[in-house]
Amino acid sequence: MLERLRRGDLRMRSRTYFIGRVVLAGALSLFVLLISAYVLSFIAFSIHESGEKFLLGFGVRGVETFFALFPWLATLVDVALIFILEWLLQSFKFGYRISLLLLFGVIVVTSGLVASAIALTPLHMSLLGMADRNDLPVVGEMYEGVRGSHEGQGVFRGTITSIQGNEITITHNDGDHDADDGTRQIIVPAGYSTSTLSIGGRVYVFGAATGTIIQAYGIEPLSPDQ
Amino acid sequence: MVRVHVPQSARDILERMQSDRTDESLAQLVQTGDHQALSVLMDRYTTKLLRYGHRFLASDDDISDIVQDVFVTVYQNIQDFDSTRRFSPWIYRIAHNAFVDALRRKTKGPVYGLDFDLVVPHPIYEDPEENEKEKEEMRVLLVGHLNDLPPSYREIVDLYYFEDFKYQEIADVLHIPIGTVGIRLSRARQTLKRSMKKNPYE
Repeated sequence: MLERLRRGDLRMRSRTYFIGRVVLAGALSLFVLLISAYVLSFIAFSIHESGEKFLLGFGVRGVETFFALFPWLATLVDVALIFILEWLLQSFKFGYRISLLLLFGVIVVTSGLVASAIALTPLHMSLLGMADRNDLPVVGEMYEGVRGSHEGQGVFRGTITSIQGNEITITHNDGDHDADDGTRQIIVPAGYSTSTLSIGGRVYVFGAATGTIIQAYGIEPLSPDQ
Repeated sequence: MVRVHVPQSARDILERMQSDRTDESLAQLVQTGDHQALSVLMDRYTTKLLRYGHRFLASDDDISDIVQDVFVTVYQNIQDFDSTRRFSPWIYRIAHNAFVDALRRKTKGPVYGLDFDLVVPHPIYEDPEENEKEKEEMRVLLVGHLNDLPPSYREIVDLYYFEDFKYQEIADVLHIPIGTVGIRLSRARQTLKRSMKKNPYE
């Protein structure tokens, strides 16, 4: 080996190479962390903005539907990103010196904190607006799904046009001329007070549909931009 | 009796000076391009790494080739060595990777599966108050019983008792949590005690 050294066949790598490698691994880890946090904040945004969080208050059927409509694909992507990040961080001392479970917990908490910070910004609302205008490449479809129709699962959204006793009429037109557009008669659940509702307000309805008549299991008012 | 004074060559003096140096200062010299310092490090570590290689492979020729490759890697990556830290865990990390790669090529599969010890956190034990005499007794016991231990414990026991590494250094060589080093050493001692009880005359 010393002979190979004297002949100049072997060369040592420069310090810059090793610094560059650490910087690259750090930058890649940070990038994966940010993507993971973004996906996590999107999941929370999607559940909130779609109104699907209300399903958890609509009994067992509501909970079942909540899990059926949960953004599982995004969750799967996020879990995969967390595992990739865990693998990347194991090349650092602080990564391999603690157990895999602890490292996983640290990543989830950090990702959650960054996701909370993202949630404080108008990022997702802006991207949703761009998706509504068909102006968002790559993740446009993901955002369009936030306000997607789930009538098959008994989920309806619309603007109240009339309130009469225990019946309200809603209309929905998001301009895409699909199945969720049109007018529906909603029979409110027994004991539900319509005093919190007003004409022109938007509502989230979960119920069983027969034609255009829906027997609601639960109704919740939505904000105007939902 | 006539005493003959033999003058030492500059090379001999240089070699003697370098052999008095610590591994870390020799590594620093290698970083500046001193090939002689590398030669001294190779002298110091060849036997140790050959012995370490026997924890992974059986063939002397294979082990010898891999140890040569380890020194090539050491030279190529010497600028990555931080001379404020100990040199031996650093070179053993390179050797560990080289032997695991060789073993993987031979077995054509993963060397270690996912180990539950790596997944769950263990309390980090401080190095036990094991004095040099107790360590020496353990070394004597281990010579005959090392193969009674599961493979995942053998390497840790070897690094702790025969290479005198601290828990944190073993964690750095194997890239495993410090708590796992502690728990495996503790289990290895228990396994060894059980093995001694079963075969006390071995």
